[in-house]
Amino acid sequence: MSMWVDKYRPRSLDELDYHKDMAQNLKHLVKSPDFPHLLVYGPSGAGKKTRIAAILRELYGPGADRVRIQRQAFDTPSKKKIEITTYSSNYHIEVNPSEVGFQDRVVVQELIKHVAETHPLDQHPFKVIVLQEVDRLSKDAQDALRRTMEKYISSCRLILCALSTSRVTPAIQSRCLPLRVAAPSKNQIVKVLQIVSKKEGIIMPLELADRISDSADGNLRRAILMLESCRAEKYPFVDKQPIVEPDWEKYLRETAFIIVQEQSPQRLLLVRERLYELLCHCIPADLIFRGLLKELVKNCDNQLKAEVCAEAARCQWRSTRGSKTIIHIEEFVAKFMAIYKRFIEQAMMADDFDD
Amino acid sequence: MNLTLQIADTDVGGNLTWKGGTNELKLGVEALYAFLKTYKVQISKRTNISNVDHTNPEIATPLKIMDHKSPSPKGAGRRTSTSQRDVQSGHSRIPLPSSVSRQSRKKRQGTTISQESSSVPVSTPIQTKLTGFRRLEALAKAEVKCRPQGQVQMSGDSTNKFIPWVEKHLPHSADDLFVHKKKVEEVTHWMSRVLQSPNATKICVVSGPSGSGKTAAVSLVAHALDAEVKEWINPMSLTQYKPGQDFRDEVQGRNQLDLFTDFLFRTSQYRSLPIKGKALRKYRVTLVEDIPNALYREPNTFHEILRKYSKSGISPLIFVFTDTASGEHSMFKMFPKTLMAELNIQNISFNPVASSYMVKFMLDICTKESIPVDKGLVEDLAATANGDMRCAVNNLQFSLTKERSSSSRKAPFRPPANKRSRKQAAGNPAISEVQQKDDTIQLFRALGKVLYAKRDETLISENEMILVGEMEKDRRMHPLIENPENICDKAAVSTDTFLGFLHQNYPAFYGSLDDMASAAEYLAISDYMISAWKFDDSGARAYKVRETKEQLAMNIAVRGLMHSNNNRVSVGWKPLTKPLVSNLEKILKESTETIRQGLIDTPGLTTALFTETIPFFAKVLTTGKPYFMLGPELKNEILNKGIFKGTMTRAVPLDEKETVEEGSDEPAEGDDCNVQEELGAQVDKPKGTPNKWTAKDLTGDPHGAHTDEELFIEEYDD
Repeated sequence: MSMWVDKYRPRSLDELDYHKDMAQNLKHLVKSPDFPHLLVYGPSGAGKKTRIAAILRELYGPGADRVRIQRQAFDTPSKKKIEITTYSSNYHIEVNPSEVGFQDRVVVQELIKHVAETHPLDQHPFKVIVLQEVDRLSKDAQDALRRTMEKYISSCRLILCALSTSRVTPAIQSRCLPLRVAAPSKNQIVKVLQIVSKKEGIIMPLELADRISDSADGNLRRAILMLESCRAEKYPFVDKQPIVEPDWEKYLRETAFIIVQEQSPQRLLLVRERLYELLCHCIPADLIFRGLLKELVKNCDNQLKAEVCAEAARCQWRSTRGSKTIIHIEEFVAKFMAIYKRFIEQAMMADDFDD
Repeated sequence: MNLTLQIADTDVGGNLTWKGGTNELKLGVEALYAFLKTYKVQISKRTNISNVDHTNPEIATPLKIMDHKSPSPKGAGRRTSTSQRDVQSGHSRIPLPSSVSRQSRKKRQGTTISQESSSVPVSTPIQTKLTGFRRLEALAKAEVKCRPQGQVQMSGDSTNKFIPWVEKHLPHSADDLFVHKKKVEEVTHWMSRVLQSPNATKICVVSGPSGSGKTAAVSLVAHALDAEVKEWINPMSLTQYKPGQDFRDEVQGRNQLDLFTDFLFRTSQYRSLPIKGKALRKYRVTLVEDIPNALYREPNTFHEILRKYSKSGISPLIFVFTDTASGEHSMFKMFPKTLMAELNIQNISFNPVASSYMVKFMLDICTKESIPVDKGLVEDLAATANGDMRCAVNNLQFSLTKERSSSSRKAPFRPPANKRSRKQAAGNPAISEVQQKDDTIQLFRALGKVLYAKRDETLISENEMILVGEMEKDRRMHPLIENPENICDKAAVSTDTFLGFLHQNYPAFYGSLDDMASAAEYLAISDYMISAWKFDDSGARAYKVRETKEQLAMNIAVRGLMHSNNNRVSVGWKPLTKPLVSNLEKILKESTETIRQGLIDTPGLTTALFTETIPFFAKVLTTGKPYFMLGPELKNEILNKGIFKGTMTRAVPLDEKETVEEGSDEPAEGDDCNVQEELGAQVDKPKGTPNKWTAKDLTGDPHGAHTDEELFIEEYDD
């Protein structure tokens, strides 16, 4: 038993619910003798992975679905062992190199070399390596990837998966066929939700579907998860059925509120505790930055907004390169507090002056 | 090394035959001079060489040869001083045959197997008839050749200054020893027990800081019990590299590890050959001071060797282990508690030498050297040495020598001693650098120094007054008491760890939000610095660069925090807590592992899993409609991650110390540095261990209260 997201995930290119043109093109591509490297990109929850899985199935048949999970170890040049989880079938291997942090270069190089050395079973001319979150690869790893891509093209193809191409080096982009998976529109999401509820045998009012797709913001996975948790919360659905949202988002909003409420060193300590809490729940730092910023700027005037955003950008950039994210988030909070406090004090002075 | 040149023959072109002990060498005068110059040799008694009386071959012209690079062997001092006096009083004398002095050395140092095998036979006269450069080259080779035999006595009028007193005044009996009686007794007790009963524990680890008299105590006790000390010396340090030589031959094609194992078992089984003139001892003791480096990397191999030894070894095996600040070569790793218990290994831990012992010992040396000395100086030296006797004696010799030789008798300099005098010495950094032992500040103290960032209110910083305009806000009226540079240099922790601690603890010391924001920025920059480089220069080649950058990062953090704290909150004692960052990483790793194992169907592991799938999953689970079949562990993990309730991390106060073993070992004065070191050791250790759920305040904790006082003294008594 699995969750609806996985349960009703389309398995083949024909079953896809939207972007049907692209599905057709992909079908032709798979049939053609020359299959290129692919770079699949698009926002979260748009269906990138579903499409990649469908392509693999189209290429290799149902054998590609039998995935086993393995730990593979690689040696770094400095003789340090790094381990990474791989999901592999007989025909392909899927891995998320950013899992090992800055050692990703080793993984990219060694893994591809390892896979490409052996020829695939059956008549298939090549194996496929799926790399997740390519945009989070370090520059080193991307450079390494570029070289390996060319070297082993005879025996393997890469399918890269990324949120956006902005952090993928042009060198890699130009070696792949870019494939943009756009977020589904609201109507498309509603349609999918209806299909899911029909299959699940529940009655879903259209109004609820609308609200869910509104709040899902183009993220289909999120929409289906929301639907499922709403169903678990209360069924049959009622009017004004509350939409369930993840705890951490609420928590983050509260944290932002705490920041705006009072600015003092003690408050900063309290915020730090909450930030740790978020990090402990495996919430990535950039989402925390984004969530905080979104809430915090609501309390600022336009000039202040610019200043705060600049600070956030600077801190967030540093956090991507630094190792202790908490330091960077905290820096942003401290900066915001300082700026905001100054702003409030000035406003109060101006008020006094007016009186 | 010391040679006596004897002019035997001045035939063609004033050639000399050099008779240094058993070595003979024939060379031209100019070549000799050149040689002497190259090796920084001074000629003490310069007779016009051409006018030497050749008729009497017994009369030698002694030349003083000072070789700063190779200190004289142990026990050389005594004899030298007598021979000098002879020289000074106008007598020329024939140097002692090398064999005598060599023997005397053996007696003292105990036999070292490896040394015996390495002494190069150089009894054949070396004759050279070369010219110019090649002659010099030959000379250099000859010089190298006689070095192993370097027991040839030196003579000269002031050589004694350059024989380290550390070697010269090695204690001769247990009474002379500067180690506390109880420790010596402990060693004696252990050794006599082991020597007498064959079934007792055979392995002992003598640990303690450098210069605390570990080796001295062990060898003295061994001699007192009529046991022969066989010492392991890493073979590489004995082999001489010759050009074109295959290295493998030298160590018989075997690695250090095999040699080491072999050495242990063979010394334990066979006694050394009866060599004439050497007293045969009743027992044997094996001493290992340098464990082969390879074993540090593979402690397990080492443990295996020990296990084997404890089964089949015969003679007692003693390891002398120096505690170091860095954890790399830690006792912890090489002799873990479990192994100690398993093999019943005895651990005798030495404390730093108490300053009163040091003073006594140093005064004794001065009496023996008949140099009048100021007791204050000796006391200060003892205080600065941090319980390191070797360091103290070296410093003593250095300062006395310098004082005597300097022509202008300015104020005899006194080393900075304790905290009080250190402050004065800060004005003269050159002195403090020379005199003070290169000590490290333990984590706890370093943190205190940075976080309290004390400024000297009595002084006005002139440099800062230059700042005008925009920079005026960065002006600090009073200079810092502690030099940030110093803290960075001496802190015995990695930048990464230190940064974690600083970040964890700084908010409590800050009164204003603006200051805090700027401090946070410095920390962030520092963190960015250390990590960013990892991407840029991966690989071993960049190690050096990275090190520099780490230092920079540390500097930024330390300076930044010290500078930013403008409106300090009323200082008082603040509990310092362990950083949560390392804890955090552990939590993340564990939970990803659990979830990964549980949710195999979910393809890939991306951020979306934790931000979307898991939270909703948890929501569904909380509704209590169990239409999923999940293992309890996975279920818990998902609930933990997805739902926010309570706090998962807690700040844990540094568990300062367990009971510190000092007691009778520390006489009246008692050094507080010892306590501090213990603190530091405790801080370092529990880094990786999961934090306990401890209450934030320390009030109920007796240790805490104690530490409270300790820290308070540390930070405020000056």
